[in-house]
Amino acid sequence: MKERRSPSELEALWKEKDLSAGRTVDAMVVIMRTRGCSWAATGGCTMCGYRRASVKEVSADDLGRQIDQALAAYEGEPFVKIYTSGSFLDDDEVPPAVRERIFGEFAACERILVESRPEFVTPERLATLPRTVTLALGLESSDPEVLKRSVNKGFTPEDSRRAGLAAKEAGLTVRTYLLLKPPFLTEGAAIADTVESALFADGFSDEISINPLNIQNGTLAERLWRRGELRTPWLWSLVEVLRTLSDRVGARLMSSPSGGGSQRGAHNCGKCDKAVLAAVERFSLTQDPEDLDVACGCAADWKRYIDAERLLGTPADLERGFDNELAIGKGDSS
Amino acid sequence: MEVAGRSHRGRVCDFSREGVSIRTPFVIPYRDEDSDEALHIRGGWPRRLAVAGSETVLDAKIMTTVSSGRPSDASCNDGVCAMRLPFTGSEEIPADTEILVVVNGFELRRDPRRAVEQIVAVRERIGPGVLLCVLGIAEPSTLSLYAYMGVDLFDDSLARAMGAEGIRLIPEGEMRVGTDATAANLADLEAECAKVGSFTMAGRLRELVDQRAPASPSSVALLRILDRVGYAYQEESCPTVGGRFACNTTQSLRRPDLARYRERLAETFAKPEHKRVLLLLPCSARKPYHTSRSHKAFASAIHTAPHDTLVQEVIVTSPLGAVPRELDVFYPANSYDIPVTGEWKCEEKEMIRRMLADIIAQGYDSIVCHLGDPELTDGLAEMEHTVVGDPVSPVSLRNLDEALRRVTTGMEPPGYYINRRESMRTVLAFQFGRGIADLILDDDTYATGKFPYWKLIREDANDRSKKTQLGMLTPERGMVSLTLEGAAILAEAGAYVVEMTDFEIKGNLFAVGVVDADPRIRIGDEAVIVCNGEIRGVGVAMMSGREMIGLKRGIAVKVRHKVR
Repeated sequence: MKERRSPSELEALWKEKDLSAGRTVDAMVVIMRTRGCSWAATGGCTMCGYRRASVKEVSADDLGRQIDQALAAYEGEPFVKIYTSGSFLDDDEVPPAVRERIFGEFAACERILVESRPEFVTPERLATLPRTVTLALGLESSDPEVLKRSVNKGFTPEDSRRAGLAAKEAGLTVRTYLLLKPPFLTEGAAIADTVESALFADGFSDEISINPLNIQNGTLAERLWRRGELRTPWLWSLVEVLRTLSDRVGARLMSSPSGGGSQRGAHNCGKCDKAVLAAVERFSLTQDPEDLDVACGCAADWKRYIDAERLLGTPADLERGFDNELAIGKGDSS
Repeated sequence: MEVAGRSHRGRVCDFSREGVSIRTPFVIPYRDEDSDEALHIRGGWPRRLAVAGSETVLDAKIMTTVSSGRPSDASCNDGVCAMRLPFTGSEEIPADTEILVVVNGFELRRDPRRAVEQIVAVRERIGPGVLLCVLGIAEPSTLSLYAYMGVDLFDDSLARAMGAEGIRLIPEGEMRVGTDATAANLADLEAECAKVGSFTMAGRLRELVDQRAPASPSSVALLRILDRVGYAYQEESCPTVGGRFACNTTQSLRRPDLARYRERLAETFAKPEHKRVLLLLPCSARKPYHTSRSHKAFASAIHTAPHDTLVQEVIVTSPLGAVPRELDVFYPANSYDIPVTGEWKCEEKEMIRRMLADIIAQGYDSIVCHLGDPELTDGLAEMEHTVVGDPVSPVSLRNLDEALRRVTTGMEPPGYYINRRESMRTVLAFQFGRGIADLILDDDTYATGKFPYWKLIREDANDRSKKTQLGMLTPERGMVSLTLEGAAILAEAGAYVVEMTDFEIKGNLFAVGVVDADPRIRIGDEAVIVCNGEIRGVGVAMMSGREMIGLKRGIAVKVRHKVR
């Protein structure tokens, strides 16, 4: 049994490297425990399991104690990222006074990243944010149909664009998240969708971060995945997207795939996954497409996989679908 | 579209458009380049189905999956409708649809329960007049099963996609060969499709299905679920007459036509009052049983004196359970073949014992068991066993004769008139139901002739010399064929009636002339043709009642007698 989670404790906190002002710096990542995403309460997105990372009632005092914990762990990192399981700019989730204290405490930071759904990005709220803030937007896809039917996002790409432009107007930087391979998209369609989405996001983003789908608990994506009707993207697809975009967008491209290399995350054959993930990490820092040059025999499998999806007209997991332990010759060592 | 051959839900259909024609079952080929073939799938993205030069787009960017709970709209063009599962029943399908294409059939491949549920639902919705095409499921080991479920058109995408992965698909299963197996897969798929066509035309697709199902656990499951969950769907398309067939697997015991026989017997068989002795007999390889050497020998021991009218003969057999003698000319009692080794499977034994128990419960003064297998009857009731060694041995036959004489001692045997009349009631009840049987066999009606050629005669109550024949039981037909006078009784009762538009029938009645039909009608049944309340003819149904309404082409009723 999991321990009952306390509303006055952080969900998670860790340190990593990221870019700020063009150089690699130490970053602190803080995941706050809030009452959760306003959209999750009405069903939420098909791939998002973060409603589980929230608790029913979190008071301003509780949030204050969470900030205390973050400050205790803070070692002067120039970059601080503060995520909630919803929107940092949602007053019901993070009251204005709490936001104010956070910006005060981290006033010396050169960069603070917070995330919000576009409906909370208003000129009034933007005016309360310091210029060190990077606003992260979860655009996921620029295709309204994909947002509606595959993601169930509850807003349109236009909403994100409006929010992004407003943030730029207010002098902030914008990082846009794209979802590579939402439910109901084949590998081939997903690659094209993310490429198009990045071109759309480039108009209002300083950074575009590509999140390959990963399977989170209690989501529609997980249900489909369990039934074999969904495969998380190949890492080759991510590489393909980054390579295609590298000379086509002005924004900085990055990706740090959650669960990368596992069945629940973006993965290849298992042998090359680490090397490909390392290449993606390198590329995210250097933006040099040559850093994406990794080779493995499974790249041919990936190409055939895309052909097979097209033949069969399904985004189902064909690797699992074709596997048959009873096939004659399956056990042969050849 | 015209149905050229049927075997349960499996069909051979001729489809033509713009001068090109194809015969189903058909595997639609996938083409990467432009092709002038009448029917093909143009590959690339999105896929398009080309039918006689007209193309229908099959794919959209968002590909919802069968268990997503998210139905999608059908996309239709020029008589072809493409649709993604799940199918909920509320989808709009235009009335002029000729081909319905399920584009994500692959997702059913490992989910037999959903496959049965979805394919049955789609077929029920589109009716018999539309070709059902399911993409992404055809492989040599399962094509027969899906055809048996009512799928008319397939594609070769699975054989290609798996072949490219080095997986060889054969009717008996799968082999990992390590090199591209596409060409060999396609050849096997083509060959299997031709076999399915041949077995269907012969009316014996089920036997091919019985052979193919054991190729994989999911195929076995598919057939099991179909036989159970899809029983009503399958049964509707099973003829009530037919030729010889074999039941060589355990699952074949659950064929829908056999299940219907057992169900119908349980519903309609009531012991004639005068029958006081139940005689259990073994089955014979030769059908109908009464023409076999062994049953002729039994007859010689039964019909030795007038007490034979007191005896209800019941033949004990698998896969039918129990067959009263007077029904031995009916399908499927007259048609089945089964391996006989003297071993009974638990399922067969249980089924036989259950059916015998029901018959015994109708109440007999005594039971004589002329079976060599005591395990079939042990503990069911007190009975006299008469077999010593072989049932046709002189000792056994003498025992049988003596036993029947002994148990009927002191009983007053009814005359042959009553015996024949009441046995005919059993026949009519099995064929038409008890209510109709009683309407036909009113106080002025009786049967004459020597079994199984029993004629139904009705006398005029005011002038006994005026006799009208209502119909006749013949083994050639395997049921009672009615005269116009006999048919009039059904018409009056509104049973087995086909309502036609007003025109003069020349030859047979075609589906196009059918306005309405009794949904009880099965292929092979008697069908009474009526127009505006007047009887126009009687004959044999060549389609089920719902098919007569749903199809536009083909013979609905093969007319035997018509009103001049």
